[in-house]
Amino acid sequence: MKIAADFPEGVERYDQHGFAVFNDKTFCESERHHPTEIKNKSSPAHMEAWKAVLTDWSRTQTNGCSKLRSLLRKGVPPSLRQQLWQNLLGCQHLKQTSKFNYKTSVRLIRRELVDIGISEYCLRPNQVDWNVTAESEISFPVPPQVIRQITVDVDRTFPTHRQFMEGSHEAKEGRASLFRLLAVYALYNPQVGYCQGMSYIAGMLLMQMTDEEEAFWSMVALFEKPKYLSGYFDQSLLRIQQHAAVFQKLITHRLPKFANHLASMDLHLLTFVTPWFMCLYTSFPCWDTVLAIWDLLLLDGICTIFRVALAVLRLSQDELLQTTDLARILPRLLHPPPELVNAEHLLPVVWRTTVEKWEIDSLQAIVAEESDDKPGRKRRRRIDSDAGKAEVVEKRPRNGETEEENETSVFRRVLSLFKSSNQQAQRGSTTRSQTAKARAANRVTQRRKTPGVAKATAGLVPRPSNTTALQHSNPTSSAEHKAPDLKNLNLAPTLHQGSTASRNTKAPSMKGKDPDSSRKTVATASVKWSKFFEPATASCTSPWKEGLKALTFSLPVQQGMMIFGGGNNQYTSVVSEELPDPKLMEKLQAALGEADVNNNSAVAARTKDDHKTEDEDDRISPCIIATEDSCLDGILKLNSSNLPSVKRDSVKGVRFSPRRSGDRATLRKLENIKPLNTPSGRRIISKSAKVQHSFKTFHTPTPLRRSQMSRLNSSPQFSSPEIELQPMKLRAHMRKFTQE
Amino acid sequence: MSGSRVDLKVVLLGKEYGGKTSLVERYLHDRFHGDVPYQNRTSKGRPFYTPTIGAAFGAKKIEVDSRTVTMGIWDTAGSERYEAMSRIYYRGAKAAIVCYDLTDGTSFDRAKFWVEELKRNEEFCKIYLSGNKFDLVENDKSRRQVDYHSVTDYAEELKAEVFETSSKTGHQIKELFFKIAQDYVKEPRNNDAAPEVPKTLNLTDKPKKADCAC
Repeated sequence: MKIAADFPEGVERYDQHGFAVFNDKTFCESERHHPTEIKNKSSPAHMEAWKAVLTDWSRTQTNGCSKLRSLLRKGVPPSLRQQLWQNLLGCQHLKQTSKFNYKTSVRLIRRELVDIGISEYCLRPNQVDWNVTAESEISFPVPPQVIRQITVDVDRTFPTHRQFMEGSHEAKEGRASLFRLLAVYALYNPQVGYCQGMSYIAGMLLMQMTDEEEAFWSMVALFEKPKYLSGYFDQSLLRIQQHAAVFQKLITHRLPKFANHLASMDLHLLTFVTPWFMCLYTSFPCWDTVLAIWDLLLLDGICTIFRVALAVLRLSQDELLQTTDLARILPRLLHPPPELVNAEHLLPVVWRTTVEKWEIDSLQAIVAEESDDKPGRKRRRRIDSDAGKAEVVEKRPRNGETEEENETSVFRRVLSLFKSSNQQAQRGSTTRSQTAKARAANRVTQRRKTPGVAKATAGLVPRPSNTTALQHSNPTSSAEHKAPDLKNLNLAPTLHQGSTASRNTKAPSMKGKDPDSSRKTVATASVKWSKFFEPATASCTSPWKEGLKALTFSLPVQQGMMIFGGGNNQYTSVVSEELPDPKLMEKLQAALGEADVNNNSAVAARTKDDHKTEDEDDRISPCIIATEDSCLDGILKLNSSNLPSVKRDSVKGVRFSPRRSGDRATLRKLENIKPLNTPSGRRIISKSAKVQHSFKTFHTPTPLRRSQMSRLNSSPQFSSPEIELQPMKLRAHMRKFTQE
Repeated sequence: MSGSRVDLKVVLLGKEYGGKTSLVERYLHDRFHGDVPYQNRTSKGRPFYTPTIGAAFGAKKIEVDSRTVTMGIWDTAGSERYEAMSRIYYRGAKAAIVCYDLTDGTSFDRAKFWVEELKRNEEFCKIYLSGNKFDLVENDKSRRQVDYHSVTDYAEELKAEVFETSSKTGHQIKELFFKIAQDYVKEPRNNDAAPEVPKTLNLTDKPKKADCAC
């Protein structure tokens, strides 16, 4: 009886994971499976190896986590799991770099709760008249409706776990912290707020992390990083639906029999995949399995959810194929029995199942395109409006931003700036008018920058794909060593997050003027930031989307310079915070200006004074805006005469496909520059070759259509660098076909 | 329909925390956990329901007029965000139980939304309005936020049925599902007339065949 006193009534004991085992075994039998024997087989050597991996984390990462992977397969010691997860999620970094403060936010939430009339320790949703609260004059940091939803769900999350269970000792605090976590997240990302399903993830993190704040930042990492669940809980729940469609395609290839079987029953995958994906398998009865899945998920990202789902279906396939009775199939899928998903059974299959990232990405692109294929809509038209279409998908207004115009995106506007200034340059107009345009363009960038301040930490900003693509040639780490003052530089988010309301920008519309440019995928030609600053030179790499052009060049630019290169709808940019040496600016401007005159391309420059009168909070200092051509020629000029301090070998090389004649001309100009033949360059090429091959054999015998290509380019819902890399690879594939 | 042995697809729709899951639990397993000691102890008496993600599914056989009908019940997530996905759940449903919480006025507005949605998309779906948590208002009339008569008036327009149920006491729940099954069996469209359905379709689709039939 003594022991029983420690447990809530009716509970026999807690299992090793903290889930209640009830006296009445028939009760809640489906909820959780409790392993009888407690496995604690972590040998000392195993522990040592784990500790070594965790303490020297940077080395683990540089090794591509291969060591970690092999250790993971053997199992994670429960005592080290917290550290592992934190390392994998990078929540420390988030916490340090974010301007968002958890503790002050909790205080804000508490104040709101007082106004509403509840407390986090006493969440009684029924005692509050939410309608009155909603109509009240007070403006709450988190809408009361969101608070209500959280309140309602906190009670119901993991109701048999000791940390959240009514009647257990820890539960009061456990539930309160679960509430705080979710409420603060709603404050952190008001666009997403709260969505059912989040509470399970938050609960899981709270079980693993001792510190609430750590748990919060882990949750932010999970919800916001493109590698994990970004976009999963947004208003439209579009990503989960697309993932279900991706999974549908995946099983059509991998488990064709089962896919047919499902189709014959008219059973939609979403019906059982939703709880799996959205709660990250926390609905599975065997907690060992769930933890192992999470370990793998945090390591590999979103691919893991497909891997696990495939494994589960593969295991249950034989049984499911035998019946067409929904009443038998669905319960098995919605609540997989413990004998099916226990760790010994399921995990080996999960490890054997491989789902490659590119596979998911390319399927995703196809799905995205198909979802656009409304009957009655003509393909022809879509091709024509490719550029505009991309933005429609991109719509994701943040922080109350409204869409002003749908069809003219920022990109088009910025682009049209370049184009129009280009034309003006042809007409021999002065740089003065271009300066104004440059200002406008800069403003556009700033508009994008301001909204997501809280999220604009380095980890969360959708990383420009090109930087990751070509990181090999310019390792971030080394750049950071050389320029420590730039480490915390708030790199602006890329523009492709969505179109924005740039109130003041009045860019001449491109419509009809230049069919060539509208055909191209403007939207994805996002402004690329080069992260690799060195105090003396800023080198900028950017693989051109169109035609797999990788361009590397160096400019003798000091910190404080912003360069846009925008010819052919492509952008190159260098940003830094401090002001450049005015003399250098002059010289560079002169160099670029000359190039401008020579080449009829646009150059615009802003000076410090200009900047001050424009926007006080402007964080991007003077910029030079130049088209691609002028950039190139600028270097040439710089190389040749204007800036003698630049050595010729600082120009690393240019590699791109001479697809258009204009490019060939440029290439001819750059004849004296050696093509990029570095290990990293070769790696990219060989990688794309591999992908071509597998994509071809696996997915489609026909070449990709142009519309498909642009869809790939413009998958802005998932701004993960991995995904954005895909187009390059596929493009190479595409080119091969067109050449044939 | 061909392969699956579920005759009657029933879908539950309604605002979150409106008692949909407990309604299904009560019907399928006849439990509101009233006989479990632990449950009695808790103040709210429903601690083991978890927020439904996507939807839950349950099936039950029910005998009506000497005919056995297998009911497949979809318990959908109430969260507004899941609305986009709800289509796959109510598609082809023969009956929909649109739930609202008797103690929450806004939940009835939400119910009206679902009714509109169903009328637009599923013309053959019969609608049953179910006011949940009747036990709460039974003893304490002041907690009632949704007036019974206004609901019946609304239902009359729709030709829908109204039930006020309590999952805690089981009030009206069996009656609700029995009524659904009964209506299903009565409906001539569903009455073992499987071969007739394609025939009529063919007739309307292709006048040629109509000629043959004549």
